[in-house]
Amino acid sequence: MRRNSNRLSRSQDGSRNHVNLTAIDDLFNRFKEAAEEKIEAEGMQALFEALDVDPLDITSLVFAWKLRAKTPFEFSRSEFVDGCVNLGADSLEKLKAVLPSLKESLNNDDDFRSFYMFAFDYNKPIEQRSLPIEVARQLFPLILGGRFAHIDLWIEFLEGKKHAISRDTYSLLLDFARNIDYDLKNFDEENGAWPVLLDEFVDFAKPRIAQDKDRMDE
Amino acid sequence: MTSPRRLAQSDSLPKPQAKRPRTLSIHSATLPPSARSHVAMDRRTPRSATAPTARRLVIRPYKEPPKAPDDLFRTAWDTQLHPAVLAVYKSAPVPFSLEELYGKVKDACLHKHAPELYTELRAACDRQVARQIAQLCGGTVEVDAFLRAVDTVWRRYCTHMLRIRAIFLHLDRTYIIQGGNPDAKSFWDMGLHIFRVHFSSAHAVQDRTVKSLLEIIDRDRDGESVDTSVLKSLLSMFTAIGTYEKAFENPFLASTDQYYRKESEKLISESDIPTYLIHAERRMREESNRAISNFGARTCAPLIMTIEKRLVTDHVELILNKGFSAMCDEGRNDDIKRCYDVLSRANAHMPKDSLDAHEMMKARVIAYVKGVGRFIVMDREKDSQMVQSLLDLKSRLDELVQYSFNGSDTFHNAVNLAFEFFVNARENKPAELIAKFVDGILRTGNRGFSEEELETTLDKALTLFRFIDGKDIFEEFYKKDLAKRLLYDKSASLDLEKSMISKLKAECGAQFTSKLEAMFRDVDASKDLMQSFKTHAASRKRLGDSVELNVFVLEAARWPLSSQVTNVKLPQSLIGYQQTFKSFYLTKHSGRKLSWQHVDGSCVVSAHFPKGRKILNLSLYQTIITVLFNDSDEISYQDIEQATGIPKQDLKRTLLSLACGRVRILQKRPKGRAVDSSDCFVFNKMFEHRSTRIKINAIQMKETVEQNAATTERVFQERNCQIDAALVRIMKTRRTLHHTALIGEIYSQLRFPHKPADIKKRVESLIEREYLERDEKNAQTYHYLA
Repeated sequence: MRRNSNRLSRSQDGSRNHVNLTAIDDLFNRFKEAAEEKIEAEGMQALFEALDVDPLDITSLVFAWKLRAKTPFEFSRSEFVDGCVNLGADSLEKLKAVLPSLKESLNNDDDFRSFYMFAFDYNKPIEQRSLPIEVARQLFPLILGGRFAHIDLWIEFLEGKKHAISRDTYSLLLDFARNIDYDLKNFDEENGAWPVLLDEFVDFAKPRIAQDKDRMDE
Repeated sequence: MTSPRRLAQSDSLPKPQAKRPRTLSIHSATLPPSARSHVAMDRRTPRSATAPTARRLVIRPYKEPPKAPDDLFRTAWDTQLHPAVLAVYKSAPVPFSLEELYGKVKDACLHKHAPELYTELRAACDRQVARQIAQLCGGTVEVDAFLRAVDTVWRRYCTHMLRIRAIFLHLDRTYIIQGGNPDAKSFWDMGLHIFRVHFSSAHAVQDRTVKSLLEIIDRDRDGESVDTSVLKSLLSMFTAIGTYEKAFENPFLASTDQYYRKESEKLISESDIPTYLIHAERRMREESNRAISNFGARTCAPLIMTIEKRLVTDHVELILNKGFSAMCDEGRNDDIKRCYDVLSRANAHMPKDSLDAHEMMKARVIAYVKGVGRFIVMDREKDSQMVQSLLDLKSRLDELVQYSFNGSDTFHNAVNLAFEFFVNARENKPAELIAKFVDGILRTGNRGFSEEELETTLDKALTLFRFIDGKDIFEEFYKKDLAKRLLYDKSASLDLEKSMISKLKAECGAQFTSKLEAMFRDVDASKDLMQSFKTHAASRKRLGDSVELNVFVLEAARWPLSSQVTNVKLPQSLIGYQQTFKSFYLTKHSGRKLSWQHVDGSCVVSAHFPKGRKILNLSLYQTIITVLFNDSDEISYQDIEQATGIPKQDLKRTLLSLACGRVRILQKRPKGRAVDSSDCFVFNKMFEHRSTRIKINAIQMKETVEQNAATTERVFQERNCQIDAALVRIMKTRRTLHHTALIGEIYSQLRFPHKPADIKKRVESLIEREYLERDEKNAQTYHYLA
């Protein structure tokens, strides 16, 4: 997420001056765990409820991305405060108002990639290098829905798989979703450096896509 | 006119004197009177007064040359020459003496009537030929008679022309040959020309002649007996009159084409391919004989080409499709050879866009071999015979290539290519079986085979080995079998073993065999070691002579030993030996660690049964159990397990071998075919056996499934490590490399079969383990992470 940090601060520069830091602290205290200096699962749920955000919606993930949260389902005080300052929001209302614009920022390709990679680190267990397959199955529709033409096939394909998704494969899936044609014709299995999982996916998907096309033609 | 010139004339006839003599001409009396100069004595002019007595003879020419009568030529032609010509044409006797006729001709020539004479003569010829040809036109005689008639006309015409030429020779020589008229042809040529003009313009005759000729040629082809002399004669006629090519050759080739097109289509659909090939071969031979004797070299080439085209080129595909694999199957090398030879004649005329006929044949051979070989390789039922079947196939094919394809390199390579294909079609199994096959040979050795024969068999097995992609699989199995042979002294001949190793070395390089050779070294070193152990004074003192101990000290990494740690308890009597050896060994090589492989130990035990003493060949496990029965006659399974510490699986198997095998020195209670943990074992007091030395076979673990899988698995693990190592090696030197380039380099480094997917998996694993990373901009490029 190195690439990303500059951009975040730049975009929010204008509003930073008008933020009330104490209000943000209060907001954090309202949702944090009693014993610890962080918002955990329960607090988070309450926070998203207060913001009218479905925790299963992509917005919650985007919010975590903007906060640069390091640990899944945890916001530390510094993460929360810095995040809110960057967003220029010191109250629930202001946060609520700024949320839709956050989602829009995903339309930028580079920002989306940073968000996409953030989602990988944010969702995988800290002690592991890869994204467990069950998590991956839930995560992909959430973040790639509407961005990857074959997302349904991909999820179906993952049903049969047991191995976790490596960072490399995860990262290249985004390239795949962006660069490979709908009919997968420009996917070069022999010479490409595509991860094996994607090779397998293409083998799996090609006949299905051809089938669908035939059906459409009829 | 000087005399030498005259003598040089080929004929003895004098030359006519064309110029009048100016002064004196003394010619011989042979001059014809008309040409004779006149000698005159001039007396009117006395030469001089100074010599009144001298009389001179002066010779002067006529003032006016004498003239021949004007009608000399006409008369001569009408009265003598023309009738003579007609008589010749009628084959009647000439009513005048030939000399007289000759004189007339000469006179005519001398008096410059040659052109007229020539014209007249030509006209006469012309009329005659026209008449003769016209005669041929009519009538509906059958082919042979017609041809004979034409032939007769031609022959007679030739004879007549010769006779007429003899009469008119003077004309031929002076007027024509000496160039009196550039347009005039020599008499003979004129005759041919006239004949050609008439023969060719009388289409009915010429066409009929050609058609008839073609008919009799076809009849000859059909096997009827045909008068070829007429054929030859008429063909020489066509050649003579210069219309051979146009009038005969072209139609002839066309008809040949048609004849063989029809014949080959009929035959190939009716008869089987070998028969067809025999026929085709015979046809080509016949035709070339016919061509040589009848048509001359010029027609020969196009004729043969036409036939080859129709008989072979047109049907290459069909010949190969219809009969080829059957011929291969039935081992009909003669037929295949014929096929090869026949097809080689098609090569020159294959259509441009088509493959060479031999290439097509090669493709069939490859397809055939692939098919047969694949069947052998894939037939799991017959795994045990696979190698032998493959060897048989190979030698059959080698013979085929040698005999039927003239040992052609292309075909040799084709066969090899096919072998390489199917031997690797079933992963690993063939490699394993070849190793087993070699093991079999090295074990049994020369039972009824000479050393040389065994060497040849090994060489043959090695040719199969050459086709194997996964040589490491072979190595692993070979190593395992070699270990058994060496440790159990099963090898039939050490020379043969060494020779096999050197063969492998020649094939795959020293690296491949270094481990195997090290195994031999270990065994040799162990023998030396045991020698010195036996003479080692301190050890001897401690042990006495009752037990002879033999130890193989093997380097663990080189030998396929089981890594399983066992707590087998040796009988007290043996522990002492083990300890003594250990301390002996460690004094020689300090700092080494000996770990005992009891599983592979064996013992020779002397056993005292009530019915006699026996020498038993036992495995170490069997011995350990047996020794327990020295102290009691009946021991329960549980107790045995406790006392020996042999792992359960091995224990059950060993007990089974002692109590339920063919030789039973123990008895099991209750009786049964399986060993249960509640069983009891009793010393068999009633044991008897006809021989003194008995080997009790250990019951072999079903090696096939688990051990086999383990061996294969080991190879795969090893391969992964090798891929990793190679990848890191390459990336370390290159730092940054495009995916394709990396794959390319890897290909040149790995010596076993691998799929791109395998390598990609390893690359991904290395990325995962942070040896490599992908370029941020270009996912196809990798960087090495130091």
